[in-house]
Amino acid sequence: MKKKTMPTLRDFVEGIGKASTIIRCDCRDMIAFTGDLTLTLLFICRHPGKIRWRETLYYMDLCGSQALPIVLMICYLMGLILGFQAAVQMQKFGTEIFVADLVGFSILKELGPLMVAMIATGRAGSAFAAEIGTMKVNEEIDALSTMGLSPMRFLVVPKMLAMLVTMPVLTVFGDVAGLLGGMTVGVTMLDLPMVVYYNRTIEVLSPTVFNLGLVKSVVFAFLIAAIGCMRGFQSENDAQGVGRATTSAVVTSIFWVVVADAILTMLFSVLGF
Amino acid sequence: MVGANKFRLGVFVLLGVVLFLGTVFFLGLSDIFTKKARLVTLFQESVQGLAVGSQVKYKGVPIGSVDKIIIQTDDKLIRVDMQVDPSIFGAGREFSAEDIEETFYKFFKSEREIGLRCRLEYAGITGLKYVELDYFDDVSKNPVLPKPTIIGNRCFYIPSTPSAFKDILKLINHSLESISKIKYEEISNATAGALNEMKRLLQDPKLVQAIHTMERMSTNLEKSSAALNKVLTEDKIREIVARMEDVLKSLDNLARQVNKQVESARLDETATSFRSAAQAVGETRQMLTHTLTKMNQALDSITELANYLGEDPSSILRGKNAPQVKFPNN
Amino acid sequence: MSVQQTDKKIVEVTNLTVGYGKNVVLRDINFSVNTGEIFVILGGSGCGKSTLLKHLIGLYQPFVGDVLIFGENIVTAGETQKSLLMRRFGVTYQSGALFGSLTLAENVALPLEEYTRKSPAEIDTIVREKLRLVDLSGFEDYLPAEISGGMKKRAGLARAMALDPTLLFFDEPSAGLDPITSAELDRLILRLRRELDTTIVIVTHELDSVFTVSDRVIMLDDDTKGIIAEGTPEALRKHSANPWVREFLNRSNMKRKQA
Repeated sequence: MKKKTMPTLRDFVEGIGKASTIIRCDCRDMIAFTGDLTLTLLFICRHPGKIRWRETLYYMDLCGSQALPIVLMICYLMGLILGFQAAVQMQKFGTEIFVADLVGFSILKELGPLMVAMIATGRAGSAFAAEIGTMKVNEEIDALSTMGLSPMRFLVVPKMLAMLVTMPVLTVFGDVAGLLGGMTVGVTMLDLPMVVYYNRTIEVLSPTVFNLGLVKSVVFAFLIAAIGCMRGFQSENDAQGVGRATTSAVVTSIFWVVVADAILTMLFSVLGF
Repeated sequence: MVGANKFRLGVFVLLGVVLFLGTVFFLGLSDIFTKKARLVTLFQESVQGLAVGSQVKYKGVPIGSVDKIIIQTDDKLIRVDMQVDPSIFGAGREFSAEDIEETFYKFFKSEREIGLRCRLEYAGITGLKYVELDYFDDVSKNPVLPKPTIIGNRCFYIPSTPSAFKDILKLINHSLESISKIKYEEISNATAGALNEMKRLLQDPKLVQAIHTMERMSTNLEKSSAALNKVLTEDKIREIVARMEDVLKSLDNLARQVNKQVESARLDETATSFRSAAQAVGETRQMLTHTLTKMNQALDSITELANYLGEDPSSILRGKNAPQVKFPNN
Repeated sequence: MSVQQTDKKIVEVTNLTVGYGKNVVLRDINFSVNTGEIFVILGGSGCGKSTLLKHLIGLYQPFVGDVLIFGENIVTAGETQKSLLMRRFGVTYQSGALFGSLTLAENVALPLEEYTRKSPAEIDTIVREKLRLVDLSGFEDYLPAEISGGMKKRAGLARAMALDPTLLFFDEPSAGLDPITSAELDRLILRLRRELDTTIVIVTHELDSVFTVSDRVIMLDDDTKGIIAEGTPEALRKHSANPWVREFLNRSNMKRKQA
């Protein structure tokens, strides 16, 4: 009987080596995909006539207007929750009016773009991965290639454009809904007159804060669309493979969205916004 | 077939754009369209708590914000530029934009003459400050800083006056520093010395002896009076009176003897020096007690202040028992 | 109309070794396809027929070897060159590979919209013509999900022919079809060659099709990872040196006799 060996240091080191190889491959794929995507986007910029407008509109509808109700609801509730939590703490100090500051800044700077990105990851990112994965299983991607058509331009660009347009719009809606959520708490729970809360919000927030949130959402849109499509293309050629690709798309998207959020926040503060 | 609900999409995008423009406008893009007037002031004191974007108020009415804070290297004064919306100074009439500006500058010029000054005020418990424009009582006492040589186009200079609120931190620091200046070591050393001296004095053998002698003397006296009692019966009264002289004589002797003994013990001198020593100790102790009581009081009041601030920090600004802000419910 | 059989080579494969990852599937493959012939790549399941096809059409990069199509090397071609080369031949896939989001007409129209400057009306005419050719008139506005497997394959064929290629690749044309539909597809393939003079390369394991349509076959074997027989199916069935090849081809004959 073969002796069961304890995991040695050697195994551990080998494990690290294997993991890093996988990570390296993943990174290389990502960089290659980004390069390909950039070239395609540049091509599209030079030849705007080559954009598949019908698909683009379809995805705008799918990722934008159809996502609006859930975005409004989630962001409103987010504002409500934030406002409530802040109110409980602020009431102790008699500084209820600062709830407006807290809700305003949190929603506009972070939570608005972030919540919309999370919803978009769940709705659009996973849909993109599943769609492209299924097309791969169906050999539709091969068919596109052999027709001499770039899958990137055909499948990714419409999704990318749709996301880049709809995400900031959704974020605008989300921001406003979040602020309304905060105001609801201010007016009902803290008995602040609506005008007072409104004036305080207007006073502390600036268009810059609002616009930086939208800049974030554009970056998130790019990441979600790119990662969703990339994972779709990387999908294995079976039903389980498509499932795994979808899961991976969501997880990878969330990870990179949060990383990008951190980087952007630091960048903005370095740039002095 | 891939088909978008174009109507829904259109509504979505248009609504989004409208909402975006609306939000940007309400959050302050409207400022771009209103003409701004500029005020400049100079501060000698620290502007700790003032930042770009801090409010500027005229008698409590927000009229603008701090635009720039510059340190003038030649005179170490801090120059604060402010942006002010002149349309707030409307005199209740409709004006054209030029009129408003003219009215604004005219108003400020006349007001500066009669004592309009800038002062830093606390904006809340966070230590943030804003610039208050008002007519302060102590204006005449404080010298007006000269107008900066380089002043921008359409900038208006308003002198500043030191803030009534000295920095609270500085105050506390100052009192703590004074407390730390008390020389506890010296006081305790002196006390210990005095006590030692007293101890030494009490242990002096001469004093002990003197006390013994006095004891013995009083015993003798007691014995004598007892003997006297025995002798003092009715039938012997005469004899007593007769022998009084003898007794007195012997008493005299005794007294003389006592005197001699006391003299030999130099009781007088010892007692005096003892008394003065005790007095000195007492004085020192009293002084020590006094100092400690004072210190105790000082510490008590600091603790009280700290407690009070802990319970109601905004009282730094409002003072004690300021009425709570209530918004009208309607 | 007589079949024009010239010896001009339209596809030429030399020293091709292909595989996935580190596994070699086929080693040192050499063959060529002449203009105008129907060439069948035959083999049992899992011997690498489809893999070979995907290397022929330039989807995968081989380990070594060259594939010349129309005299141009698709292995070493750059992206643009490859894309241009790919437009000159058509490929139909096992399941049709129609774009699920587009109707049949739109699927066929896609390459025309992309590569020609024809007006929508002209495109529409061509699309109807191609769909008629594959007996799908009247199904222009159907979605791929709404039609049967055989119809999908024919629609895929219509799309592959949209740009009138002179070379067509078929991946398992009769897989998953009932014998009658399969036979119809074979007749369609023959008709295409007759009417349009197209060179056709078919990958299949269906022996009925092989005997019906093919001019020449190669047989792949997964043990030797190479070609074990090459020639006309009849000649191979009767005279092949390899008993396994004779057996493989005769089995279908037996089956046909039984039927």
